[in-house]
Amino acid sequence: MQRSIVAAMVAILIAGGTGAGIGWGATPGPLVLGVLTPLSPPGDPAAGQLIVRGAQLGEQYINTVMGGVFGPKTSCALPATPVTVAVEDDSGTPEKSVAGFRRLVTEEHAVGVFGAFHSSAMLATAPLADELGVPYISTQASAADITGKHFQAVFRTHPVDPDRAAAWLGFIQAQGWHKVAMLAENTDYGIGLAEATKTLIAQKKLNMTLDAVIFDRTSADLTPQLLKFKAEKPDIVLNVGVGTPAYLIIKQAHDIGLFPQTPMLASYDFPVRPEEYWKNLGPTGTSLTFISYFHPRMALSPLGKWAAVEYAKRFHSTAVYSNLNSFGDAMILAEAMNQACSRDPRRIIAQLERGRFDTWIGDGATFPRGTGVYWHQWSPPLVILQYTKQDETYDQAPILYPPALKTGTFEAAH
Amino acid sequence: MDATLLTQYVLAGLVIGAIYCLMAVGITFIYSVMKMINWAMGEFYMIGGYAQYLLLTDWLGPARWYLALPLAILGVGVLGMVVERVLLQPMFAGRLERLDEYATIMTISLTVLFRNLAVVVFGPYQFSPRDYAPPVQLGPLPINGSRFVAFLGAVVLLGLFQWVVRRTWFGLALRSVAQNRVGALCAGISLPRIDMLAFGIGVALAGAAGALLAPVFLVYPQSGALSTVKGFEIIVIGGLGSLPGSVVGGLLLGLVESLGSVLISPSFRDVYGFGLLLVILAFRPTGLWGERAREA
Amino acid sequence: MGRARPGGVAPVDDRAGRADPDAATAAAGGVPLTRSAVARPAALAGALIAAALLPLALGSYQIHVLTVACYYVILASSWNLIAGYTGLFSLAHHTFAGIGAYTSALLVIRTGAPIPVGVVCGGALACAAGYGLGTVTLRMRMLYLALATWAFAESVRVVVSMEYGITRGDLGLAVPKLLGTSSPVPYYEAFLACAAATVAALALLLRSRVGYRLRAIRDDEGVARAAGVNTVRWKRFAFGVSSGIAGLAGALYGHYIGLLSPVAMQFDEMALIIIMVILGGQRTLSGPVLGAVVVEVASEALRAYGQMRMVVFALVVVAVMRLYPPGLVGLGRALWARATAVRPGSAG
Repeated sequence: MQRSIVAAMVAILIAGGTGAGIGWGATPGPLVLGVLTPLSPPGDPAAGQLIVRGAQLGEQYINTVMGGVFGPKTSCALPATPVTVAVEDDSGTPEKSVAGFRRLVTEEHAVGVFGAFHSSAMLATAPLADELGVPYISTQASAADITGKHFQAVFRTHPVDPDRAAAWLGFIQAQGWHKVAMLAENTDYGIGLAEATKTLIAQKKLNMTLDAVIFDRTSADLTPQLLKFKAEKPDIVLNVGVGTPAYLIIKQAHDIGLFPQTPMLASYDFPVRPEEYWKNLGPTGTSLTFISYFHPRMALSPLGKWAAVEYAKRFHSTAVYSNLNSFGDAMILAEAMNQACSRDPRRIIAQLERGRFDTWIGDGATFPRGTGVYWHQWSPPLVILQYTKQDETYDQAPILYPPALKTGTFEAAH
Repeated sequence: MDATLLTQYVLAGLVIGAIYCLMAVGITFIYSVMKMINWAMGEFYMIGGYAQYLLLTDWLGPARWYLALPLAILGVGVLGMVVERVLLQPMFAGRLERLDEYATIMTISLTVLFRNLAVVVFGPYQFSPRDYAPPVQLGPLPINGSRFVAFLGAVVLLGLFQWVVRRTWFGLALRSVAQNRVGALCAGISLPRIDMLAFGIGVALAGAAGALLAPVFLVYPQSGALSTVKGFEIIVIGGLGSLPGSVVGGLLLGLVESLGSVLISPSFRDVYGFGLLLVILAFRPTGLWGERAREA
Repeated sequence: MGRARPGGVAPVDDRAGRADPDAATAAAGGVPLTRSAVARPAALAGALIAAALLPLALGSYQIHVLTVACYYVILASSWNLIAGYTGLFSLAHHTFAGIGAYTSALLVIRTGAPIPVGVVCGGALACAAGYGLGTVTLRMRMLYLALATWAFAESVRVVVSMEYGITRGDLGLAVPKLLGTSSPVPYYEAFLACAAATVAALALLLRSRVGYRLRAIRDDEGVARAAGVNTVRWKRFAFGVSSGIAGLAGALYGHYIGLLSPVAMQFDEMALIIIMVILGGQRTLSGPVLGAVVVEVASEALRAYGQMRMVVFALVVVAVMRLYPPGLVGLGRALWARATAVRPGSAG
């Protein structure tokens, strides 16, 4: 019977914690910005953690440098108000995302939400954002439908699949390559990019062939797929994996002698974290080309510079795109409130459509009601970089594309 | 289809198949002694990988990989014995009604526990120790040095394991317990001790696979999932409790996946194994070499 | 092999009789049978009405959480039927929910069928698939059955995520909503009704002759067959019924959440169902209900802790299995028995 008493106490503790945690009867506090991002599997917690850090940096900037929302530099009659960031885990699943959004809005009284990474989670929640009338910004969810469905309250500050496809097809064309092989993971990201690339080739009637192979994200041995590519002798291999698969493709292509003999282009900026990239790959990683969202030659805005410096101070590593873009989203929401002189979410939405907002790069983001996927869409610029020697950092790597920023030419491996 | 390419596929399939075998033999060995399935096998694989990574990069340095390997294997084996002692031993104390179910639930919970604990402790990132062997040319197939070491390691370990089971007194005791627990008990064999050692050895094989493959497949919290999947496919194809079945099943699976990718479509690579499994089970419900079902 | 229970012939499972609430209460607390026979249904009805009135007191977020909890109540209870009461340890239960959800969604989207028709078809297909899987696995023993159902589940998941031309894979399949609104309250009432209906139906089933047949199969298939139970028929039946229920629930749930993705067909989901059932108390009717509600609400409450919450759940389940297998419901009963047993003593 003693066991049952111990068990009873455990049960009571669980129940008590539950009741307290779910927040029955929370009171409205200061200005809250919601971050809804994956922090546990099946989502991608690595991405979520980076996004959370960016948001924390945003909170710091708004409260210290800006002196809060409606701070001294604004002409609003409202008192300056500090913001807090409320973080929710969406686990990358639709129902957790819906629950998290509801909690952020109804319990935490968030005036705006950002941080989405998984498109399927964000797509499930977008109608809810419309219904509750709270702005929801995609920090890194890239599916076309997010903006393509023209939700009133949904915005995005991340390149859409067509942007990315246009960048690499432009690069491939400039190189005079024709035979493209693509190894894409079976996620919203991989499939979306494969579809966008196919569509764009057909639309622009490019003189290219694309062999896209989709693989299951959980499989670790991609040798058979890569051997198939090797036999076909493509001009370039597009590596559309996120996290582990991205590394596995490079390693295993190298093992069978496909890479670097055949050039490889990685679809996002994971190589910019030098400590991780070179530690995992060593000499194998040399001569990879990859898409990046910034490079010191592209001027960071003053906000971006502040964030990069503070990030290094606070988290002891180099700020990457996920950090900066999440930081930028926090800034955009704060500026929209300042411009509208209001903390009413519906007026923030209206202001987001009208205004121009400083963010970490470029000369201001705008979210007009464009056509197709370019509805409420602002894309940060894309560049294609190449690592030419081991242990290079991304700021030393030459820019191969676009031509306007070009600082080097593609260097084939020997 | 050109012959070189086909040979490459067959070789790649056999190499990966031999590595899969290591997982499968561990699972089937635990089953034959303890009559339970260890669903957390993949998580021991993952722990083996982390151990190897830490030993290589932080403690011993990459040059001493030959030292890191046995240490990682030993560590996983000891952890396995502790788990068996604390959590699984009561299974055999005679108080529980449904042993299969207890073991299944327990080990599935351990899967969830270890996987999430890995994220808490090491973060959700992927790690990879550097390759410690130069690339090798195997016929027409260029092969990564670490993968080749893993292949050789798998062959050596399987041989060693077979020797222990077939030729030593300890192996005799294991086999007697596998055949008849009560009989072995009557012959004076300590069942708790044999169970504990068997579980330790079984998961150590998984840990060995994890350690050997750490530079090949990276180390990350979910890395065990793959090896569990493959291991289970193999033992069901080969037959629970049959060591030759596991070896044949492993090679067969490697081949089917490799050839299926080239002959049908590489996208469905991971479905071919399941297809093979369901077909075999439909015709032979206990696998190719499985023991006949006996009514209790 | 010597896996037979120590006693040789299966001992009568004391928990088997608990499907009969009167007998259980009478045995546990010595409460007069007549009083209990009235009090028990009245208490249950009261609890149900109270649950139905919860939206008056709670915000939309809490109601959403409880709606999801109701969905898991259905899944956990129907899995308990097949795994707990029939002894068929299937690891494909979440897959049947997924099959139901995708069938209904695709039917409604592609053919414009009304949503209720889609839901029924989803349930029917899941039921048929379950019946089929039950047939294929008929001759398998527990471990092979677990492995085979697991392999089936993984194959279905991979196919669903790879055939993205049809299912949209991880991009997510947008599903029309069952009701015009996305306010969770009407959905909550619908799910609450479904969950209550499921539990009631299972209670009736388990008290019938069929229920005893299923338990007989679990306890000893050979003996059951010798006693004249058509084990083939009833095993398939259990598979079909529990999969059908899961399929219906999955289909309804899809039309509530509005987006399907193969994430819900990952093994983690099955592990979650197992955790709920074990924590609440296996082989009891109320166990899965309690387990599902506690786990879902707690996992929402512990959201901020990300990974840690799964670590905690896993630890709790390990502890329950190791130290106190009857789970929360068993605990409640033991405490109740203790309380009612002490009273006469203290009076004397």
